[in-house]
Amino acid sequence: MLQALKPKVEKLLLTASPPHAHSRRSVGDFFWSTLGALIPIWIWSWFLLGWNSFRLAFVALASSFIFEAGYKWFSRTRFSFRDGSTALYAFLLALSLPADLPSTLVILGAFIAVIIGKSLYGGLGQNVFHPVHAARAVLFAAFPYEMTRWATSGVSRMNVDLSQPFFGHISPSSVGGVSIFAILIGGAILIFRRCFRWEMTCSHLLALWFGALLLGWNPVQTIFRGDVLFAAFFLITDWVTSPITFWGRVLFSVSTAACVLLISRTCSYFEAISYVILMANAFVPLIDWHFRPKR
Amino acid sequence: MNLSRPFKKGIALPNHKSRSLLSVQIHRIAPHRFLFFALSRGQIPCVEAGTRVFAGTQIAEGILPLHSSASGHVAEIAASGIRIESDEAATPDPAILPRREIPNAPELLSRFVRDAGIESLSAGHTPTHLRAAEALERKVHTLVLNACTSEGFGTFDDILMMNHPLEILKGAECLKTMCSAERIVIAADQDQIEALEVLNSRNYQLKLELETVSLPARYPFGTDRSVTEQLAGRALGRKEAPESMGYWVEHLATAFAVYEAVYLSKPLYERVVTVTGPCVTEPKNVWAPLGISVRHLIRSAKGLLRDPERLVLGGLMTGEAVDSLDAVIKKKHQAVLVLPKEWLHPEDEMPCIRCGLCIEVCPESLRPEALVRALRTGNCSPVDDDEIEACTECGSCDYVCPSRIPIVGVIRKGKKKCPPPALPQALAAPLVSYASSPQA
Repeated sequence: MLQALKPKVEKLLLTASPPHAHSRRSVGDFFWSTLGALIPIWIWSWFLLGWNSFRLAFVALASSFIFEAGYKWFSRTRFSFRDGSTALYAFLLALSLPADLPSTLVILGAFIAVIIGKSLYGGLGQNVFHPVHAARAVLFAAFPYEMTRWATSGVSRMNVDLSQPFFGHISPSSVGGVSIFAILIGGAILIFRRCFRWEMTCSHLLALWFGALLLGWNPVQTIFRGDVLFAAFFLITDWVTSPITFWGRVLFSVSTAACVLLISRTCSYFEAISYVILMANAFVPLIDWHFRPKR
Repeated sequence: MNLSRPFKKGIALPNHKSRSLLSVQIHRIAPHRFLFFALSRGQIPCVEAGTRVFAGTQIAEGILPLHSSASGHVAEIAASGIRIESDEAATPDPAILPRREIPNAPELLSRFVRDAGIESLSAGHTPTHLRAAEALERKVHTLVLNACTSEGFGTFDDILMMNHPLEILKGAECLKTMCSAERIVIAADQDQIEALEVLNSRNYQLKLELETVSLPARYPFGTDRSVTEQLAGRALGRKEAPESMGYWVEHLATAFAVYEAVYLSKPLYERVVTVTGPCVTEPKNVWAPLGISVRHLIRSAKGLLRDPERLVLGGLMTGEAVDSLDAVIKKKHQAVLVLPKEWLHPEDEMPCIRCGLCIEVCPESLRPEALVRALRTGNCSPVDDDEIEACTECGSCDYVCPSRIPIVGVIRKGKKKCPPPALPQALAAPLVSYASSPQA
C-alpha cells in the first residue's frame, strides 16, 4: 500500500531548513489586536461627537488605502493589506486629530503619514519616524488654526475636572482623548491579546507622575487626561519606531515623558507630544546600539 | 540543584510526547530486504560483494568499524556506501557471545567500545573511546548522561530508561571507569520523573555514585553545554568544552550501547528511534536497525493517516528535513517526525516589524534582527564577526518571529565554514590489513 502511495507522498514532501515548528503568531495578530483595542474609543466617540468622528475615521482610512495602494502600484511591490498595518495607522491618525478638522486636512495628513512617513523609507518596518506624529507635526506647523480651534471652546490646559474625563469632554483635543474609561478598556484588550508593551506605558506614566511632583503640579490631574493616556497607551507603543530591547524602550518612554513635561509648561501637551516623539525616534538607533544584549 | 541561568531566554515548546509513550515498550521490527550503510570519511569496506554477513558482522574498517544490522549477503559496494540484501531476519553473528569477565581497566573497556563502533548517538560524530580518552586526560570528576529532550516529540531516552534501567546503569558504570570519574549524574526533563525514579530504584541494588537531576524543559537548554552550565552553576565560556569544568557529557543511549558492547560484546547496529508526528497512525519507539529506510519505520508504525508535508529526521527544531522516504537511519538519528501541512502553518514572509521578540528569546544573547539585516544587505559592520559564529542555530528566533522571516536559513548561509569537530587532527586513518581483521 505504501509502495502505491510512493510518488504522491514524495511529491508532497518539501525540504526546508529547521526549525520545523512555529509559534503561530503573526504580524496580523498584533495589528488587528490593537485595532480591536481602539473599538471602545470609537464607540464612545460616537456617543459624544456623533458622526463627526466617524467622518474622520472614514476619510483617514480611505485616503490611507488609496495612497498606500497607489504607492505600491507605482513602486511595483507586493500588494497586501491583510496585516492591518495601513488600517491601524489610519485609525491612529484619525484618533489623534481633533474632531472638527476639515476632511481635506485629514487627507493631507494621511498622505504625509503613508507616503512620507512610511513608504518612502521602504514600507512597513523600515520607517524611523512614527508616521502619525510626522503627519501631526506637519499639520500643526502648516495649519495651526484648524488644529487648535477646539481650545477656544472653554476647556483650558490644566484645569480639568476629574470626573468629566472619564465620561468624556464635549470638545476634546483629539478624538482619542474622549474618555479615559474607553482607553483603559482598550488597554485591557491589549493585555488580554498579549500585545501590550507594558514597560513603555508604565514607565511613561510613572515618569509623568514623578515629573509632575517635581514641577509642583498635581500628578493625578497631569496623568488622568484623555490625550495623555491615549498617547501613553497607543501612540508611544508603536512596534516599528520604538527601541527593540526592554530597557531601551523604558529609556525611550521616560525621556519622552520628561521632555513633554518640560515643553508643556509653556506649550500645549497636544502639540508637544508629537514633536517629542519624533525627536525620540531619531535617537532610537543609538538607543538600540547601547542597549544591545551583552554576551 | 541550583540553576544558574534564569529562564527568560528560550521558548517553551509544547510537549507532544504522550502519543509515542502510549505503548510503553520498544518494538522490534524485522529488517527490510535492502539496507544501506553510508561510509564516512576514512572507512574502507572489508567485505566483498556476495559475502555472507550476519547481524553484527563487521563490514567496514576505519576510525570506527561499521557493522551490518541484518543477516544476508552484501549486494553491492559503492563509493558512498554498502548495500546489503538481507533475508529479513536478524540472525546474530555466531562470533558474538556475552563476555565472561568484565575487565576493569579503562584501556580494555575503550577497546571494546571502539570495536563496537560506538560514536555519540546524537548529533556529534566523535567516537566515544576518543572522547573517553580526552575526558581521562582532562581529569573529569563527573560523568553526565544527558536524557533531556527539550525539543518535544522524542521519547527515545524516556522509554530506554523505563525499559532497561539496569543496562543503562551498568553501561554508565563502564563509562565512568573509562574516564575515571567520581560520580554519575543523569539529567532529564521535569516530565521524565517516572523514568528517573525507575533508575533510582535500580541503583538501590547497584549502589553506584548516582544522582538524578530533573531540569526544566525549556527549549534550547537541553544541550550538553547547557546541561553542564546548569549543573555547575556557572556559564561556560564560548570556546570552553564541558570537560574543562570537569564534566563529561554523554547521551543516555550511548550508555546502553556501551553496556551491550562490554557485557554482550554486541556491536552497535541498532538504536531506539521514535517514529512519531501527527501524520503517523501509531507513534511508537522502535529498535531501528541502522541502514533501514524511513519508509519501513513508518510502515512499522502502521503507516500514515494523511498526507505529510515534511519528513524530519532528528528533533523538531534542529532536525534535517528529507524529501524522500528512502532516507536511511544513521547512528545520529533519534527520531522520525512526519508533519502535516497545518502543523507548519506556512505563510508568506513579511518585513521585519522590529518587535524585538527574537532578541528576547535568543539564548546566546545575540541580535537576530540585526544579523538578518546585515547578512541580507551585505553590510556587516553593525555586527561583530563572532556574533554570527556564536549562533547555535537553535531556531528560537525563527519560532517566535511574527513576520515569518527564515532567520536560521539566512544565518546558515551567512556563516563561514565552521571549524571541524573535536576529532584530534593528528589521527590519520589506520591502514587496513585484511589478514589481521578479526572477522575476516
